[in-house]
Parts: sequence; structure tokens; C-alpha cells
Amino acid sequence: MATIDPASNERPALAKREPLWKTYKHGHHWPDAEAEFDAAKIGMWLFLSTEILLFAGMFCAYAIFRMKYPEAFVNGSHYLDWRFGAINTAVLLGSSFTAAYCVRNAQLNNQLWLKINLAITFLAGAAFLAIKFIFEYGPKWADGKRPGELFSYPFAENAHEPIWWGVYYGATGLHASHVIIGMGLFVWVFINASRGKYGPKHYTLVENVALYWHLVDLIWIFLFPLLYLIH
Amino acid sequence: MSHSHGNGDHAHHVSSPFTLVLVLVILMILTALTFIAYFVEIWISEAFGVYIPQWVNVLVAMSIATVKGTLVLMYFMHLRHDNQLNTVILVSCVAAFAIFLGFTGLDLGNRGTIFAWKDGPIIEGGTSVGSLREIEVIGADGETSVRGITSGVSVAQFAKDPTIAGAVLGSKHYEKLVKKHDAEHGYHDHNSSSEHSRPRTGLTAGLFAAEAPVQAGHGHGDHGGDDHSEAESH
Repeated sequence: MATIDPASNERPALAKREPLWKTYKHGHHWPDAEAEFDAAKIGMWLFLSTEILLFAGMFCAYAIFRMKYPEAFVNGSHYLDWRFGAINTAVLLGSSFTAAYCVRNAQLNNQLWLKINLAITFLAGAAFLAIKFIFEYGPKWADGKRPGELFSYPFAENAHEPIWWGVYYGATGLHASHVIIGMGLFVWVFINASRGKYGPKHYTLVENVALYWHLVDLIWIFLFPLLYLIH
Repeated sequence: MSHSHGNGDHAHHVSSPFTLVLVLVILMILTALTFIAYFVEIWISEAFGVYIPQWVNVLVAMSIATVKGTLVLMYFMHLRHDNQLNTVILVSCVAAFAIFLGFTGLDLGNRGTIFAWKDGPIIEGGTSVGSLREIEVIGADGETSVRGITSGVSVAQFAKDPTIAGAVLGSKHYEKLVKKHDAEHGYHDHNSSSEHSRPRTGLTAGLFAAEAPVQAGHGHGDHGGDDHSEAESH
């Protein structure tokens, strides 16, 4: 056992310490790291399934109201600018690509690019939200295009437009909250990654957070044509 | 997938840059295609004055989205090279999603056919008094008449009417049924009403006995407690 000599000016050899991912020990209740990784991932997929079912409620509400009030949905969709939908779709698809690249970087021990891709994914999420809030939610809310009883837009062409806005804010809001949560997760992974926690032997969290981000992307793939591209 | 022990290395699939870039490019092209389809639909409907139903728009957009989603799941989310249990979990979830949306759609899509029926009077217990059942009845004089909407009685009572029963089942068959019923049960009151049938729980011996029919909620001659049943049995 090493002892510290108070007279010595020599600092402990921190720089030579093995990276955390190399010394990572799996939980003692797992037979090996592989079993731990697989179980964590199965758990993640189960969680993602509940997320899909959560959004199924939104899609179902959308289906019900669109079947009942198709004209209101055509009107409502025309208030949205398809260009913002297109930009946000490209931003999310690109961030999904960098998230997938994060996993590859961790697997190949490419620490610099792992951090760069984590940062890009985070910034893409921020860009998505910025476009959503500055160019979409903000001006629309100010015009009175609000859900339900809050509706006060003076030029409505259909009596059921407040319902359309309810579905719009509900679905995109639930999605945006997932983007915010995903961004928080990427900050967490970024901090861990800077400490050298992820590498070829251990990258469970990178994988699972990336899966979460892909799901957010997946939901948007279905959501944006349903909201922006009705005529 | 190999199982490593302790410090052994993972044999996980590492996505190649080529695959990742190719998938991203295809996703972008499909996104562009979604918008192109949208504008082509608008152009067709305006240039040719054609009305394109809403389901075309939804079907095209959702088909492209499904292809995109599958690409994301298979390559970005690694399901193609992953533990197949994860795919099973996802497919089960999508099946639940389909049941949820499918049955909601069936419900909403068929409200129109059920509303007419619901317009009729609603009787507790569901005796189908408001039934739209209509049948042709040939009377004794050979005249054909249509009897419908169960004439304000329950379906069971409607069927009990000898004229109706004879017309529906055929008069010969009906006569045979009456004889069979009388022989088996020894009791057939054509004037009794199914609207006032006795409530019963389980099989009650002698319920249809011609003499001294069993009172509601009481067995044969046992625990004769309250005054009412005593008065009836005498």
C-alpha cells in the first residue's frame, strides 16, 4: 500500500491513471459486463415502448379530431409554415446521425469525436427548440392561435380551430418536452465522457441516450407530415 | 453474439461510416419526397380540378414516414445487428398501437350506423324494443303485410306472436315446435308475456310447471317466510 511522504513534492501520478472506462466494473449481480449491457438495453427498449404508447395517445387524439373535423385540420395546417417543419426535420435527422456516430466513437475509443458529436447533437436539439419557440409557438400564441378556451384569433374560418390548436400544441409540446429531456441527457453524457467514462469496453449510457434521441426523431418523422402537410 | 467474461472485449456491431452516411442521405431524400408528394397533390388537384380525398394525403405521407422510421430503427438504433428480443419488444408495442388506433377508428367510423338504432327507446336490460327488424307476414286471408320495429314490444315478445312466428319459421314448423314444447314442458301459455318473465337465478325445478309455478326467488315449498309467498301458495 502506498503511503504519502509529506516531505516529498512529487504529485501522485494522476496523469498515468487508466481511463475510467477501462477500470469499469459491472454490477456484482451480473455474470459479466455483456449481460449487464444487454439487460440495460432491453430495459431501455421497454421504456421506449411505453414512450411510443404515450405518443399513441396523441396520435389517437389527432385521428379522432381529424376524422370529426377534417376542415378545421386543413385550415389549421395552413397556418403552419412548412419551411419551419422542413428545417426542423432536417435538424433532427442530422442530430440522429450524430447521435448514432457518438456510439461508434465510443466503441472505437475516439474520445475527441465522441465529445464533438455529443455537443453537435445537443446544439441541434437547441436549434430545434429555438426554431419552434421563436418562429412558431411565439408568434402563433401572440396572434391568439391558442388551444381550447384560450383561443382568441379573430379571423378563424372554422368553429373547430381551437381543437386543432389543442392537438398541435399537445403533440408538439409533448415532443418538445422530450427534446428538452434528451438535451439534458446529452449534457450528462458529455460530462461523463469528458471524465473518460466511455470507451470500447463500456458505453451503455451513450447507447441508451442515443436510443432515446432516435425515438424523439422517430416520433417527429411521423408527426411533421401529419401537422404541416395537410391540404 | 459472443459472451465475454470479465475483461474480455465486446463483440458488438460497429456501424460503418458508409452505412450511417448512406442512411442519413436516404432519410433526407425521403423527407424531400414527402414534401414533393404534398406539392404534387396540390398541383394535381388545382391543375386538373380533381378532388383528392384526405386519406390519399395521409397514406402517402405515412408510407414514406414508415420507411424512414424503419431505417432509423434498423441502422441508427441498431436493431438489425442487435439482440432480437429488442425487436420483439418494439413489434409488440407497435401491435398495441395498431389495436388502439384500429379500434378507435372502427368506433368512430361506424357511429353513423349505430345512431339510428340508438334513436329508439332504450329499455333497461336491453330487450331490443327499438329493433329495426321488419318481416313480411302473410295473413290467414293471404294478404301480405309488413310488420316492423317490433311493434313496440321486446324482440322476445315479438317472436312469441303466433302470426310472426308462423311467418318467420313457416307455419308447419311452428306447429311442430308448439307440439314439441307442450310435450316436453307440458305447459304452454300462448297468452303469457315475455315482458313479465319471472326473475330467476340458476336452474329452478318446476319453474315452468303448469300448476303452482314457483314464485320468484323461492324454491318449492321451502323457507316460506313472508306473508306474500304464503298468500300466493294457498
